[in-house]
Amino acid sequence: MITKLVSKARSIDTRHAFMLLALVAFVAMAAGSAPAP
Amino acid sequence: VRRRPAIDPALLGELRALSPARWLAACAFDWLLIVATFVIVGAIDHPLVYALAIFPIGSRQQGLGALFHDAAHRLVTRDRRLNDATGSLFAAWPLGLTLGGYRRYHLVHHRKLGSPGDPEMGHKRALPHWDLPLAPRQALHFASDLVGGGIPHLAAAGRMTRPVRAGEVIGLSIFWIGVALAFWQLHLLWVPLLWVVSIATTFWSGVRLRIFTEHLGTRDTHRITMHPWLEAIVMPHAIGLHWEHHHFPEVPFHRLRALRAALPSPRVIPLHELLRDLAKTRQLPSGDIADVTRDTDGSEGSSVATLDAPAELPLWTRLAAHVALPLAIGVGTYLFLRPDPPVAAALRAALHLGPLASAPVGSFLDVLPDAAWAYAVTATPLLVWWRGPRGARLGWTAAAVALAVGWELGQRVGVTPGGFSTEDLVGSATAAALALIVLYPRPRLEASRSATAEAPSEAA
Repeated sequence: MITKLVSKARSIDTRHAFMLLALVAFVAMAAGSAPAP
Repeated sequence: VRRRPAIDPALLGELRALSPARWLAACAFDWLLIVATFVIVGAIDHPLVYALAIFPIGSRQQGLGALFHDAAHRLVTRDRRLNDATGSLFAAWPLGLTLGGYRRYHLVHHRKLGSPGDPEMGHKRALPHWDLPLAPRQALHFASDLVGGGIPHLAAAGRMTRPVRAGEVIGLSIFWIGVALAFWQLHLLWVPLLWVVSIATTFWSGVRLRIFTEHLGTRDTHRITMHPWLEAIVMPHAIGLHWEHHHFPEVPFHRLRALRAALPSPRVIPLHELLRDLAKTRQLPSGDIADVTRDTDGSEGSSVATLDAPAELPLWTRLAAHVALPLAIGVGTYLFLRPDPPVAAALRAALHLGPLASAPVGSFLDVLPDAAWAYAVTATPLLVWWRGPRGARLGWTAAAVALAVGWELGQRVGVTPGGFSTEDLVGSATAAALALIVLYPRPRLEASRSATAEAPSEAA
């Protein structure tokens, strides 16, 4: 079961993780640059 | 072998005479206009004026580019060292170029023009923006140049013309470090910044235009003319007399007009006529070589030369150009050109930069950081998923566009932090659309590669 999950996780393209991080960074950037209310 | 038009040897002897004074006068003229532009921009100190300054500066950079090109052909003075020193200091280094590096590339272009060995063809093939017949989409590239869309081209050009000697690298580095330090001390860092932005935008735009008018759709060179004002602005110092230059590269720029007058044929065609002609040719992919325009003796090229396509720019380079650079422009605008965000004010205080003149709300510079951010957001998935499954690319791109445009819309309804403005929304949407236009289409390079890869298996 665990090995199955691990192999499934390994088969996922790392670019998905990269994109997720990138979009989070973009959101952080936009939120950080918003002027204080 | 290219046939050289017949010309009276005595006349050619006269036309080959160099004139350092003419070169220096043209150079002084360009620099005078550049200094005047910076003085006026600094005096008005309005965001819009800074933004518009890239047009006159880029035009004069074209002028320096033409003079640099003459220096590369050793047409400033017969004294080689003096030629290279003058050409480097006043034209090459300011443009981020070195004479030796450019010569290695450019002289091969002269020798191999119209053949697969022409390095210019490698550029056109790697970044295929010069398909024939001309399509409206190609005009959009000029708009994308204004927000840094030409950076990959400049990066490619930079690699093709990279310095050949350590001395050149040292000279170029000392020049730019000196410039940066001097302007930093003078609290005028915006001057070299605006200069570099102009190189990356309007200057490159002018080069892009010349690529259309020089050798596109012919194995030779188009012999064109245009309105004197247009020529003075976009192709100064006779750089548009490219046919004359290619047949007689030993003639300096200031005698190319006399050379043209001495050679009645082939017919000189107006620029608009060439563009109309280029819009009606048969299909010719960017980087392929054939005579398909009417000024090529009307003979349709039969064999289309193909090239081994040079390697595509690495992902990190493209991310730097389409993501990091727009973000840097946006952050730079926040830090240096817009006074309102408190973070920026604090950073400026920490860097001892002092407050800057206030920017009117709704101005170009208010929109620019948001638009640059939206461009970077949209460009990221398009580049990260450049290769690979179409579905993942589409999905992530849709998410990115939703974020790029949705962030501003969210401000409208109070879901995302920050103040909503219609200008920001339009700016962000336009930037996202631009990224899609520029980066969505994957080049046919891959298609042709996979096609050739598949061909043998089909045969087998």
